[in-house]
Amino acid sequence: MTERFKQYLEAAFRKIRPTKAAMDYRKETLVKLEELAQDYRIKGMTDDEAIYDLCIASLGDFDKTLADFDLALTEVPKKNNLKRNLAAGIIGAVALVVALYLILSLTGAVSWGLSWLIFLGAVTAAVVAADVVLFLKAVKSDKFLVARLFNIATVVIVFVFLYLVIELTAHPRYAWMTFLAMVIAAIAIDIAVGFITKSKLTIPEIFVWLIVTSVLLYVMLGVSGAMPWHPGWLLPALTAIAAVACGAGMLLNMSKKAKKDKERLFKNAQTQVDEEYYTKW
Amino acid sequence: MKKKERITAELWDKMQYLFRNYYDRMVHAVLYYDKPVDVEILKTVLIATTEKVPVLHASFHDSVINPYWEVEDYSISDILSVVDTDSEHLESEIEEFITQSIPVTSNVQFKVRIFNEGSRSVFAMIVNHMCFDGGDFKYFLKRLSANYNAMLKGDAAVEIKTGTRSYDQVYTKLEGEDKETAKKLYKNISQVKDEHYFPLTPDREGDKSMINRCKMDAETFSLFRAVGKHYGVTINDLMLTVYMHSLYEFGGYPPTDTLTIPCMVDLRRHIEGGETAGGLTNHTGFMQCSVDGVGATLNDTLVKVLRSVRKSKHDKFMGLYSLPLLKLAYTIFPYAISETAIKIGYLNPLIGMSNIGVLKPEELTLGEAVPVDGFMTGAVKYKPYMQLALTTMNGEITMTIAIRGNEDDKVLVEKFFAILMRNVRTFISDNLKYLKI
Repeated sequence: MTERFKQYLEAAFRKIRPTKAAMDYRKETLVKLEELAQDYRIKGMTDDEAIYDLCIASLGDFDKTLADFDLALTEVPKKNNLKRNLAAGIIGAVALVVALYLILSLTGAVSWGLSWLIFLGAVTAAVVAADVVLFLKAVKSDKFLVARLFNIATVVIVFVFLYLVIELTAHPRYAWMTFLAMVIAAIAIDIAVGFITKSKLTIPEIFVWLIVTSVLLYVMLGVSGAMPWHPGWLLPALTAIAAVACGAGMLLNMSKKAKKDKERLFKNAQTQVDEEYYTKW
Repeated sequence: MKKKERITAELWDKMQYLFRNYYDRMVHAVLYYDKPVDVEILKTVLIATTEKVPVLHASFHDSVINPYWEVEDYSISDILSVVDTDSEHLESEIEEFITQSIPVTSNVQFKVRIFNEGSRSVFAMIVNHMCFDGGDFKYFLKRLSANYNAMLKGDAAVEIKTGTRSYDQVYTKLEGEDKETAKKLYKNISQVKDEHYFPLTPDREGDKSMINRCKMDAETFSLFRAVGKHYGVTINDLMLTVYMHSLYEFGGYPPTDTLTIPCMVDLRRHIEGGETAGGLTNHTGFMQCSVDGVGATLNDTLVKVLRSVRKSKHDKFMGLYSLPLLKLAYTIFPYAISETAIKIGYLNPLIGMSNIGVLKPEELTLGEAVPVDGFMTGAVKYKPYMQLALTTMNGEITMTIAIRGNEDDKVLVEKFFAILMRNVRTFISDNLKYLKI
């Protein structure tokens, strides 16, 4: 069988250029065919002719596969084009931002004291874009730790930018509250990622978020006078009590379930022992 | 007072020490000889060997920054004991001896006992897994035999390897880019989540260490091997197949569940000079075998097993994954922190398999005494962990499951062995028609 596979492959590979890569590919394909033949034999096939035909058929249109393989060796990898396009895009975007900054500042449309925010806005947008790319990569590789940390850093940068814009353009009394909102948003985004990645820590994180949010809301509403300090304190207190109660209830349920599962398994094993083992002579 | 000599604790010493949380850290061997062993010669060989390998008479000291071994004084009575017994009590006495655990703080890290029963002797030995693994245990036993036989002929020189115990010898066969790649294999392969476990009873007071054995007789093994040869598969593949197939049945796992079992790999395949290179130490990695459900027949399961193990067999870095990660953890953190970090990242497999391989009687003779039977097995696992260990000798396979449990667990393990052996016989009968006997 191996000899027949070799003959087939020798003939097929003569149709493409004799490169080192082609030789490696030929050897790999032989191993694949041999393994497939082994699988068919183990599964009960005894007709060598049928096994051979099935194995060769598994290669599909092998002449086309080989032609594509050969072509791939000479084509310029697309990755280089992508890198070139990316570099051109970045240079273009930077030029656009600089031009916008100069035009708006020189024409007096935006004062020099504010126009530098255009640069900060561009950097913030770039960080957000990098964050999205990193997250998509994390989804592909199923590794989220770095992406989650970067997410939080992105939220911080976005909120710092927002604070500067609000403070420098509108001078509101409570602009600093942006930083309190930043904490709420950072945890909320992490919870959203937790749901996507099915992280086991998401549920406890929700409880933490509820408590943190209620405390920060209490502070913000209290300071701004939108809610009296008393009985406003009930907001964080009741939220914390509810979160702890929910958490304790969930833990209790999980422990009960684990205990039940263990007991069931032990019972099953015992039954097997009693019925089969002891009565078998 | 003279300051005691210190030996650096190597990466695998620390890892095996960490494994104390999952098993008793002992490796075991029992060899049944057809004639009595000369205890006086054995004593001399053991002393000379122990002198040459300081880690065998050293105590291990846990430390926050970096643990170490401290070479200790000892006498041969700490290592060797001789017991006269009868056939009725022989097995229970062997079991009692081999299931003991040597504390890391002991002055010696291995113990040997000779059981004299009638006109034959049984050699039993236990050693701290932190000193060496199954691969070097086999080497140790072979050298013990060679040194014993040389001494019988009047040659007093005892030979045993005394080189480096460092983990990084596993890169010596690799060159250039491959070597660089191997040193960057940071992937944590222990992180394969498999929640299937071997059904044993919950922990009970009074649970004790036990080594459960089951033998595949020579005739069955010969047919089993012949079927394997017919299909071009190894005994390891076949055993993995019947093991996994039996686990689905015994454990009651849903037939479509993916089951992953790590299979121990001797990393000396990557070392220039193989088993004789370096010093006595651990060089064990593992390859994962994953099947996406049990096959309708054993042959179907075999195909699934092969599809999984081929990936490892084709991988030139088989078993080398995670080593750089461990090295990094032990390098950048003080020991206490690195142990905690590794403990968090390391998932000890619930079920495993270790094929220790062939023990050749001609390499283990002690004078005229020839081993007629014997086995080696790994550490005694704590529930819910378990491992099947296999030793081949004189055309028979001894299967062992070493666990800490009770009489009910023993019954369960024996029941599992019965299922496993039934599957071996089914596999043979299903495929016998293809053999030209």
